[in-house]
Amino acid sequence: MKVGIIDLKQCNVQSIINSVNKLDYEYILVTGKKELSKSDCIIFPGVGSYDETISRLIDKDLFNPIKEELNNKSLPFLGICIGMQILFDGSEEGEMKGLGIFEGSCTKLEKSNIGWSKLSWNKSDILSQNSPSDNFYFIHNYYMQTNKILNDHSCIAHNKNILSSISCGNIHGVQFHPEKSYYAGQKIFKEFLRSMK
Amino acid sequence: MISREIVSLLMSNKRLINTIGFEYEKYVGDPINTIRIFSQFQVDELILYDIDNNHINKKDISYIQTLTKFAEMPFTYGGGIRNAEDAEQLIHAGCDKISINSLFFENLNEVNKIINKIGKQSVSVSINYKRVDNKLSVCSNKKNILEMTLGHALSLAAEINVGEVVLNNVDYDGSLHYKSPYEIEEISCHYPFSLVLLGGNDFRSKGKVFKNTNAVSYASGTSHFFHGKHRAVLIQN
Repeated sequence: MKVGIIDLKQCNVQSIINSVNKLDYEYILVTGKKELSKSDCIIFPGVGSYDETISRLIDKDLFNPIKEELNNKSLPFLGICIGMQILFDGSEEGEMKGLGIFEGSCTKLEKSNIGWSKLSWNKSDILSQNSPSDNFYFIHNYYMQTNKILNDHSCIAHNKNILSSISCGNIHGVQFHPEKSYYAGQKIFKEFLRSMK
Repeated sequence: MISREIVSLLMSNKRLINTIGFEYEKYVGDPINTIRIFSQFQVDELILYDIDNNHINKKDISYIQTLTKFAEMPFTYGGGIRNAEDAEQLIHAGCDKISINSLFFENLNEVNKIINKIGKQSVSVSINYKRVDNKLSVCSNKKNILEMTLGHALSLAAEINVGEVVLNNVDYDGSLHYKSPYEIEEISCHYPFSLVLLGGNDFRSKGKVFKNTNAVSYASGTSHFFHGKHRAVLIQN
């Protein structure tokens, strides 16, 4: 099984490689459609601005193929930070349209949200196997408001009104950085990758 | 959000050093081994400043990528970042944030370009300051006083919308006797960025010096490396 890691030469790719290596999975860096077709699942790394990320997806001819895979629910997907935000319709951070898999648009925080926080999971899912005392690392400026999320998505975890995780079928997004959250974060990757088998 | 306890490392020629008032360099360890140890300690974050680097090159980025392979914690790198391309390459190499210093005072347009590429949350500005004639003044890496008050520098950082500012108190660099200018902690909540205080902190006395701990985070270097009155080198957390 090959884990596809989206590589736009901008996001924090190395940290995802470290996490996947630790779990002993093979990975492939996805820089175009060719590698996308060879991937059994996709991890979209964090760090990046909204428009820059969407522009690069379009330039590499990955925007529509990824959207198609997600609409068909044919390729398991884990989006981290900006990788989760692009699953929505858009963001105040930019003018470009997101993938539109989930409804809604990300809004600006008054102050950067940088640091560690616990989560409250309100539905059970493969990503919610961690203990309530586990801390996760957040670093973001824009967020999706929890109260704007439709209830029929299978898993929503939130830290106050900041949407921290969302899942629908085999599509998952997390606002926090599991690759920087030590054992608790590694468990997220482990459960996501185990669900592929 | 809980206040962060950040480990701050100074690197010179791929060696970790400690300084007192930006002088009296002392070797304290190898970067890879040290980062591995702090990963095992599960520290909140780690900042690595390469103090000699004027402009980062491909070899430097390749070396930083080697370091990030061992950095399980959130990792910030500062030193020789001159443009948006440098910043992107560092993020791609495994950094979560990049820290700028000289560029902030020399070329705000380029700082804006960096923010537009990697997002403001990943841009940290490091400002060195000291008290001169009862005013808080900004100084360069070489300890030279710049003609700018700390208040003005903080306003500029707010204006260009960076995600984080690390305030390095040069007067207390290398000491363990932090005395924050009280007004910094008091006003920190009014700024739109996350504020980190560095210089003179002892990680063992958290809570004693910070009255308003949720408004600021703090970083410390010296106290993680020296043990006992003879300052024996011992990595601790």
